[in-house]
Amino acid sequence: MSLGILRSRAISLASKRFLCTNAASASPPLPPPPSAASPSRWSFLKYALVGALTGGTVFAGYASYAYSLDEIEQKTRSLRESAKYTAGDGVTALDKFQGLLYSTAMTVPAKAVELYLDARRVIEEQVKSYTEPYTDKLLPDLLPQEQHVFTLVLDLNETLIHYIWTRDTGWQTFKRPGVDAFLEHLAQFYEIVVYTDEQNMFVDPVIERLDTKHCIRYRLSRPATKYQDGKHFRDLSKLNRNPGKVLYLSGHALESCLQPENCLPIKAWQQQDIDDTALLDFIPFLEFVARSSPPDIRPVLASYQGCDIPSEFIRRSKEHQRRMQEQKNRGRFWK
Amino acid sequence: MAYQTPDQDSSSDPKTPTRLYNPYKDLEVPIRNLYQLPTTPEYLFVEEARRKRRSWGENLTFYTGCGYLAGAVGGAASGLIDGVKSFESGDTAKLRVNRVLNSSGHAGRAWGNRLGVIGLLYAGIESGIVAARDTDDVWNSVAAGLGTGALYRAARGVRSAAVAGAVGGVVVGVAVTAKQALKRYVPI
Repeated sequence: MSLGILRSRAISLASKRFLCTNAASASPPLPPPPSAASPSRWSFLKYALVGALTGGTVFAGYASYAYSLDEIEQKTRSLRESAKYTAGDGVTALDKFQGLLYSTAMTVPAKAVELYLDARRVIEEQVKSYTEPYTDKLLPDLLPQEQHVFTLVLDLNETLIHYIWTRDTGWQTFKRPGVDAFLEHLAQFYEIVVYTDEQNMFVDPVIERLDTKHCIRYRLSRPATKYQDGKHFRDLSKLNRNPGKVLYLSGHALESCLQPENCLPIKAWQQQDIDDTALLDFIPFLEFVARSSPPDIRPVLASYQGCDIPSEFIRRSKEHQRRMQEQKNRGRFWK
Repeated sequence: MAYQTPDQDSSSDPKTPTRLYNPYKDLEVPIRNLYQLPTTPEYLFVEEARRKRRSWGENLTFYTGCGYLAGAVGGAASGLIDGVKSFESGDTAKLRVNRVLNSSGHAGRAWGNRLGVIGLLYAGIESGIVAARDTDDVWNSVAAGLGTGALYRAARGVRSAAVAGAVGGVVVGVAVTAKQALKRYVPI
């Protein structure tokens, strides 16, 4: 055998040399050249693996961006079920073999998809513990004798107070004009809750100083908000209250709340606006709401959408009084 | 009819000027509440408003006066020691008192003027740096110390000014660090 190999090597070398030099004579045999097939084979495998990993990563990134967890789970259910093949009765050996082969081939992508789903579920639960409110019931249950009471949710910065920092004076916190009278008067009709996106260590001393008569029942701060699109939103659906009896009053009401139909926009206040009367102007409207007690406040607020609520309320009250006066006059005329 | 004025809040300043306001004034209902509204910004934390910072002029006066007084007292003490050392065996009491007073007065005035000038330069440079950077931290003080030392010795040459600037920066840094450590660890 070795002699045969040597003979074939000599023949090939001889033919190569003949083609190169056009000589007719045979040359003595030379040592075999090193093989060049191995490096190209490993290089091909390496590139294939890198390409597969890159494609998988790109696809996973696109899936994370474009689809939610439930959508991916639903779309890939058929793929993951095709990997579990159970042979039924009455099938031929050939069909059984084909099914087994198909399920074996589908095992790798099914395992990959399940791994991706598990990893994404774990990561999303971790993120959710930071972005969602810490519980689904932010307030305790309402007392039975207070089921008719409306809940007034107040913001803090630029609604009840305003704070600034300057180099000359450091931190300064100002009270909005009329905030003491506002809280004291409306605590008779409402359950007052402060719901802000500030931190706990800021909210507690501010409310202790602001609310010396304990008109505010509950304080909710940043851990109770929902972090979405880079902002902290108030989620009034988690207040454990009837959503038809919740009012949210804020200087930035429509852009800081997830339920804009419950919002009462008020002018945002800063400390140089010393003639501000917006808080006290809201007292007639809020008192009327509490006394008339509509079953659902949201259509009432929808009718005030786009208006300045206190002045619109006063205009409607005058209109109502004028109409009542006309009816009274008409009745007296007929008598 | 009786006016129901709300109780004066304990945390608010009783001297705050107020005006009366009626949110129902456009409605034809009997007056129920007249609210007192402040006509100046109302502080939530009243102690925040009482704390105030020295202006740059007060800072200048403070540092110059403290520097002059410290220099005068220290210089007078040093002069007193020198005067006592220079007593001679045949001097009378009047001559000894005169020698002590001359020595104390001379050294006290010299050292008082020197430290007063240093305080003036430091306060002026620090106020300028604070106004330029619009911030308030340790590096303002250290830079002011460095500038003060360099400016004080500028007439004696570049090398002397550089050394004095370095000494000034180090001294002010140590002083600021000691002040912060004192404020943190010493229970005052």
